[in-house]
Amino acid sequence: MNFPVWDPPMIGGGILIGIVAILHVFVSHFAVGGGLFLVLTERRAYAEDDRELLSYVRKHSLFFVLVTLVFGAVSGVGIWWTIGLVHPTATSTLIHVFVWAWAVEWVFFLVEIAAALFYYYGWERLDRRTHLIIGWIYASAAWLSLLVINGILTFMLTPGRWLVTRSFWDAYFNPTMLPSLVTRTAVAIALAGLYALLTAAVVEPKTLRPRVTRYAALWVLAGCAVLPLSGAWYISQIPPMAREISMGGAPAVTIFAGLSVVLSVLIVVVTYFGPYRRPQEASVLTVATIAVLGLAATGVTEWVREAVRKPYVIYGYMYSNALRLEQVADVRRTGLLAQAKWVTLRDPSDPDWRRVGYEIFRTECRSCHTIDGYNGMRLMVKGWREEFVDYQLQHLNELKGFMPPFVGSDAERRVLARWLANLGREEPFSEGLSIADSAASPRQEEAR
Amino acid sequence: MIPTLPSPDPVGVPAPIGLLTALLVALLPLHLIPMNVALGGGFVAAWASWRARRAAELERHRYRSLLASFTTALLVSTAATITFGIAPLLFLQVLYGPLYYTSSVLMAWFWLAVIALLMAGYYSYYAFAFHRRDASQRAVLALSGGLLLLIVGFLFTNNMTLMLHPERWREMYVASAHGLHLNTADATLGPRFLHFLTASFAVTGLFVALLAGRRTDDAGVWMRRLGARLFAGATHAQILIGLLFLYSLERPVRDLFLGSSVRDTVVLWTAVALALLATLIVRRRPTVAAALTVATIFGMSYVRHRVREALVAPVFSLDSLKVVPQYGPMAVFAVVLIAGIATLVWMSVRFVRAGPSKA
Repeated sequence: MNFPVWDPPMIGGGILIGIVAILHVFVSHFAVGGGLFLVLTERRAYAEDDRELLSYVRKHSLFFVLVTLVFGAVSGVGIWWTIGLVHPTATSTLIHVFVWAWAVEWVFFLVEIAAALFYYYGWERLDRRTHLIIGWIYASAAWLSLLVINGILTFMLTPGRWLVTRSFWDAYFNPTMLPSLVTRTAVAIALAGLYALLTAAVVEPKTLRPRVTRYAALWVLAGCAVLPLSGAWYISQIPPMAREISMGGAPAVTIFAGLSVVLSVLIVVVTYFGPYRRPQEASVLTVATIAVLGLAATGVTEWVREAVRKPYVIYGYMYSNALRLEQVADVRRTGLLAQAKWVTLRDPSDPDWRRVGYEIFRTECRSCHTIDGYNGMRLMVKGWREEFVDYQLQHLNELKGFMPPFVGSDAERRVLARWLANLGREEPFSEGLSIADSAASPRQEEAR
Repeated sequence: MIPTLPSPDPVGVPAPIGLLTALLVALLPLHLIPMNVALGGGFVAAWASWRARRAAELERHRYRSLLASFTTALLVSTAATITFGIAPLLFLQVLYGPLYYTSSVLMAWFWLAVIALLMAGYYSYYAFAFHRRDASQRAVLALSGGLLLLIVGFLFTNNMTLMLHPERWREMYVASAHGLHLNTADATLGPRFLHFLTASFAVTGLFVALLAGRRTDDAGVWMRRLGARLFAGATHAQILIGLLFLYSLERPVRDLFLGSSVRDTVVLWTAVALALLATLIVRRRPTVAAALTVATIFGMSYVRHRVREALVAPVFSLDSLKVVPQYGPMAVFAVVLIAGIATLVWMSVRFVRAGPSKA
């Protein structure tokens, strides 16, 4: 309502955020656990005077730098970019509540990047002790940046006492901050092992492979061992409705939540019976399978975490469509078009009902729905009569618990119902999009 | 008419406006300086790789000497550009969120492309650094890295200027909400982009001269001369482009730097004078020239901020924002920042003292 809504045809903002976020999570958690892996493995190689293991760590550190410094760092900025485009209002809230937390995180990130470069370029140059210390600095800074961001992420699902006190500390130390921190740390350790399995599968000399493979598999298993407990702790702290959504309330979310568990169990089983028990037989194919399972598990878990937050983007404070709860009564009183800043028509009884309907849709529904693509409305309302659509709109939050209520005047709701019902009667890619493309005529601009 | 400027965030700004503004202005040069080397360096490295292919033995040695320093420099400067870009963008979003988010949405696809282009450019530089054999291929890799970052810079200039013109937004959004707008109709866009591009070559030249340090071998002397020439040439061109930029600004904003505001006028022209002075001494005293240039860049960061303030003054003022200071978190940041800087200094000192690689 406050910001213009980006309307790329077919593509939902959720999908864009999802793609960037899942890839980033898969790499950034590796960046955290991988630091610990490097420094502990290096220390072990020194302690056992194992030159082969040391040469493996060096090669792994190049892979590490290429993956985390470039892809990890840039995709992290990419999430920030994407949420700012898709959810500017919510992004603005997170920036305003947490600007100093972001600033602290930035310092850790700075130290992390610098330490990674010194670590990588310091293999020949630095003495063993200094090199190890820099490795520890990297691992600590990386984990500390996770510590900060984790609190901001969990704030969105469980803002806790912040809703009342508006205090930074209540926002940061929110109910799921700790269980999520333990979970993410465990995931980071498991992912460090998973990536190490990949490099171990191709390391030379071949005689080294079984040893490193088994060692890396141990990291995967150790990380996964923590997950059932920390996961249960996390789930016990989330809002009851979020729990219900993931346990039967919304079939798609329930399926994905189940998949998350199944995939994680599969990772443990394959890792245990493959690389851990028979490291000498572990092939590139086996470890690649584990990596794909890991990416899939990360993907569905992050997706569920996002989905259970509905109908909010910040629980109890802001709906997914950027409307703050405190605005609802006022918008109901004045109507949506009177307050929405980026619409061209402000009178719901305007003869150009198609445009009015489309603009209400774009303002209030577009953050989750497209017309013909992702979460497309045309298929959802196919065959629905206008009165039925209007009935649905009146009871949205009761009929679909993961949706916010329709907020606007009765007249606006009826125009939206008419536009939606008409949508369901048309061929795909017709009217709705052509309205989206056509500029308002000068007459309409003047009428404003 | 109902204004199409989004309202400021109701949460409020979590620190005094002056502090955030100071951080924004003071931290931006830390992004700009490595950005200049990362951008200009790609083109210089491409040029040197290309020339090194068929040069005579002596010359080839010079190019190789230059390239040897650039392999690491491109990677480190790109990493620093990204890392030091985050803090200014953070403070920009706190202070100018209603402007920044809106212009970003209007050019959403282009703005999102920044991420992909940056990643591709960054990996091009890594490929350049690790690809040691074929000089022509190296030239192509460095060039493509430089070109990709050049496009990123162009898109940045678009957003940073579009956010200053709320009066253009509504028409753009009504025409299309697909996020495919650019700010190419802006008279300042070209000069402003050229201004940053030329600065990149100047700073890269200075960087080359600094790399040569006090070396007395043939390649070292050559690098120092090459760097000094690039710096002086680009800076002289910059004076013309800067004037063009100044005169492309609308009247009341331009006048701030032509006498109507004493402070703004003094800062701009002192910065220009320092840069000119630097071009005179760069050959003999590159370190002093570098110090003067850094001072110029800080001055220009202030000038840039004043241009922004003046352009949006009719519709948006920082003083109108609600301030809800968070002193505790601010103190935590201060402590972490000091500890972070100490850690960075410790690592750098250890690294430098250890001397060049034994390998």
